[in-house]
Amino acid sequence: MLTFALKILLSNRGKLITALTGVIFSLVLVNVQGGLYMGLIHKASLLVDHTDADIWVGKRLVENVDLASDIPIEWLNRLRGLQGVVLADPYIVQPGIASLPDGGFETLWIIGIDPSSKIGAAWNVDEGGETYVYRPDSITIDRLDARKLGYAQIGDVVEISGHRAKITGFTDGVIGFMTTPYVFTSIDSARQYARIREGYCSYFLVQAADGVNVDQLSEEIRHLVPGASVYTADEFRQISQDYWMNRTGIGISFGLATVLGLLVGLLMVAQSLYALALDHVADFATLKAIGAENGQILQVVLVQAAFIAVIGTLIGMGIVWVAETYCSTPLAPIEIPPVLRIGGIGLVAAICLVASVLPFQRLRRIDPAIVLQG
Amino acid sequence: MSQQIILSSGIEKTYRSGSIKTSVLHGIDMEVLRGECVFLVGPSGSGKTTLLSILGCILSPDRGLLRILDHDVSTLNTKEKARFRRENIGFVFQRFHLFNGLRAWENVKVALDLLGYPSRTAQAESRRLLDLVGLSDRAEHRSSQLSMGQRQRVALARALAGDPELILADEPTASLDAESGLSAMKTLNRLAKSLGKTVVVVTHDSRIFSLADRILHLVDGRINESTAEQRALALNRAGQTVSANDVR
Ligand SMILES: Nc1ncnc2c1ncn2[C@@H]1O[C@H](COP(=O)(O)OP(=O)(O)OP(=O)(O)O)[C@@H](O)[C@H]1O
Ligand SMILES: [Mg+2]
Repeated sequence: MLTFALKILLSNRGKLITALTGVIFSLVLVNVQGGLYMGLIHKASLLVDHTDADIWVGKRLVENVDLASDIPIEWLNRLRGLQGVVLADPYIVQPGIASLPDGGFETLWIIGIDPSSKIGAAWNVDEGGETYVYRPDSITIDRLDARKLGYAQIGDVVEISGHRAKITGFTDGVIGFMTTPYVFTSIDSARQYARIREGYCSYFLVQAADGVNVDQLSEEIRHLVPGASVYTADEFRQISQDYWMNRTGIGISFGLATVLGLLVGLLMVAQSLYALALDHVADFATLKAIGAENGQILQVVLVQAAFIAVIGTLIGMGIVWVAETYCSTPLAPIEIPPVLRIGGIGLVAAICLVASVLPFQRLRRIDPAIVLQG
Repeated sequence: MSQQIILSSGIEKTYRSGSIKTSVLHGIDMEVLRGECVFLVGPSGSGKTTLLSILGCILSPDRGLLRILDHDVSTLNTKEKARFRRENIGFVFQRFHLFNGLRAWENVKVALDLLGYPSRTAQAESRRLLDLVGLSDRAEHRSSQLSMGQRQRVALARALAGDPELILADEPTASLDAESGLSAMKTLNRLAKSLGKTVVVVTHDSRIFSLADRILHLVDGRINESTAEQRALALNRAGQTVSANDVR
């Protein structure tokens, strides 16, 4: 039966290839679309993901890590005495504007770091080290953003909000959701670049002692600074991601495109299995005449569908691997979590299963009498 | 088990497609005994294939009684009929109906697969059956690589797969030239006799009439049995040169 099922499947390369293409198409689409979506969504919380803080304290009703408002640094004194708090330092996230040598302007996102703790420091630094934190008026930007600052190089000086800023380092692939260049600098320089009043910052970054319940600690902080929003890193990550998802609807558009793609894949598999069954009506009629029940006919179709699913998955996962290895960029990262990978395979299996219903419905109606009458 | 392999009485069949009715069988009474080789002859369109399909549990009669191998098959549902066919009946078709692309032994194995034989057993058994029909040296050939006569032998091996009691053949020689038709029919006859199978053959081919134990004529939707004399007459009319002695 296995031989019968597979020989029929292999008898028509064109239809086999169409069916495989359907499977591969669906699988690659789910993984790449899903991976791009995950990559994009992670950008929305990039600063939260890469900052070693357990709790974020910001202005009341802050909705997204990149869109902060000022809070008075004096509140910090209330936190520092709190039991369970190891570290509580100010952090700045605010826009600033660079004037370029050619007369143009470029909006930048200024990230200010406290030199004493370096909490919230730049990551993926591949040139210049931590110079930018210690030396006044120095900044680190991403290599990919250098173009936006007139192809700036190490040692070049740009003007941000009327202040001197010397590029002393580069990060590699640190690009946020808004694609505005992140500029890492010391908190004092940041206050100038972002025009923040003395005594203010955007967030307090809090590290809790080992074994301290972070939820409980944030509850205590909430009582101490009622004017602030206090979130655990996990909460703030989620809030920041939800903000962009709800504002832009990218979840829906990615989801819709994926669902449409899956439908196309399903149709390709179903239509080629159906056409294959039609090509072999005589063979199936003979099979029935010599005693095959519909259950056994179904087995034949399911073997064919399973073969398509397995081979299609192997090829598809190969293509997905190539895509995530060679096509993922900092601007459009493809991040495929294991759940998505396994879910994609499950979806493809489901597609092939559903697709075999169509040919089976045709084959079960075949009257074996046509073998003798034909 | 009784010696009656087939017992029918009053079988009627009318084809209906839309408003068109074709009444084909008007009360078939027949009996076939274990080990017999019975030929069913009659003019084109007389309903031979229809009757064979009913005997093979592929078509259902509109009316009448049909017992095959002591089973009242007229009461079986589609699924039960399929099971009855694969366990008890071997079919040989005019145009072979082999599975293209499958090797000769794989064609035979399909029938054993349907019966749930383990793959290894089925493979060995398929080769044994091909050996029986004299095709052991063609086991690996695909059906497109076989002559017509060889194809019909593969079909014969497939019909014997699973050791069915009853073999039904519809014009098994009609797609073959005289020589290979006769040869294939002789093989069928020899194997049926040695294995104790019961055979019903629908045929126009008077050259093979001598292989029949009995010949039934289907005329006007009813059966007329040939007596020994009628059989001799039939042979004479056909100007047959083949005699029973040539065959055995
Ligand atoms: N599916 C069908 N629907 C309607 N009429 C049919 C059908 N099958 C056969 N018939 C008619 O029934 C009659 C008997 O057909 P059948 O095939 O049994 O004859 P036959 O004796 O086998 O003929 P032949 O010797 O040409 O093979 C014919 O008149 C045919 O047209
Ligand atoms: Mg016929």
